Amino acid sequence: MLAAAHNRPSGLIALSRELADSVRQAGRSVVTVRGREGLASSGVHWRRGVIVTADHALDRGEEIRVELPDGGTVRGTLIGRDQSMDLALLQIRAVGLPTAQFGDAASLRVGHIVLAVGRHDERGLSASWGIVSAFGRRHASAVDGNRSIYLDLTIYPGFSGGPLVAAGGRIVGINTLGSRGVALSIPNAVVEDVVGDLLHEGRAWRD
Amino acid sequence: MRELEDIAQRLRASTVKVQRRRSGGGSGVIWRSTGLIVTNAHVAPGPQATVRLADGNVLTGTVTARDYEHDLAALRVDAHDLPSVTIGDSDALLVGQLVFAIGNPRYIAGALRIGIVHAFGRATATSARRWVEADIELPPGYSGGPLSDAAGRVIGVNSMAARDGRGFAVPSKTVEAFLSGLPGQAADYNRVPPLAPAERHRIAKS
Repeated sequence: MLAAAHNRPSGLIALSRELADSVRQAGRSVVTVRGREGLASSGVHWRRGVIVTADHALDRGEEIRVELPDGGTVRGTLIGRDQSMDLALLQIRAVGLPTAQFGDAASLRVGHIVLAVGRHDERGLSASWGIVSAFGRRHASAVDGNRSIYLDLTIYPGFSGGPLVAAGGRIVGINTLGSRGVALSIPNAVVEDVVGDLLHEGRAWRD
Repeated sequence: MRELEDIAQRLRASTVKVQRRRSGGGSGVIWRSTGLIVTNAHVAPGPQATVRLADGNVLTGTVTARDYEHDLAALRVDAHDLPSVTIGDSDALLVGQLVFAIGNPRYIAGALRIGIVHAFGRATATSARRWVEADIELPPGYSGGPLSDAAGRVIGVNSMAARDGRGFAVPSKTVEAFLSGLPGQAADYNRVPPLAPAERHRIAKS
């Protein structure tokens, strides 16, 4: 093969390794959220003791259980919900659980290869891949990296609330399904806004 | 990308078309150069099947073993020195790794598809994984064909596709256990299929 002849490592093997490494790296801060009957959802350990997950993964009055990567289960207390963004915040006791390592969502470009990572059943980490397809509406903010990220990849059942992962295993957004089932991700900066609002007020102000 | 073409070429050379008496069938993998072909049990349900090699040669394959539980069948063809696959370790696979599938969809020979490892099914007595689940679209014709890693090593035999976009492959470890085991060992295998019948469609052409 051409690559071997020039002593260059295979590009495909390198890409394959990077994808697997990225899943493993990002997966260290991905949890399972059980807040409703039936299908569990994914969640991300955003700040110490704070889990970001999908709002639609929670039912009212349902006891919330959060399953950690090491196999342990802790109780999740609802901090707040933002239905319009499909985001919710949970408080947990997070001994030893790494927080998310963030990437710069503003540096994403159409065509970038990205991964959606989920953790929602006994199979543990699962993943899908694809590319950034387009950028959508700008969420209220003057800052870069505040537009919804449209994705050409499959958001499998249970993937909502899980991370969008870019090169190096860095988390750049939270995945959800938009209208008509389109795969999309809320970029970090916008999730941060929601996290700040919910921690401060217990609800989010949206215009 | 040149490397993709290389992988496709190598895999195509070791992938056969397996046909039943009427229309239909799927693919098969040249597992041993001495004439051993592996395919799905549902692709070769009868005692024999027609095996069409990538170079156009047509051989008669005789089914020597079949395991419906794992959807595997072994075929013997009268040929030696066939281009066999390099077999990889399905237990060493990681979620996120690139995988490639070769199949024979309608009117096309040796079509390449790319995806990543999505997850694994539960463990069994003979393999750390019950299934290799891939984030890959596998239309009819890919059944019985190879699933390989980025180095071109075959780590699974494609078996079925879910409606949500996952492909299910029998792990190479399971294939090796099937080939070396006795019929009675099938009892040790996990009996629960990963998908209910309504959720899956066979990816052999019917």
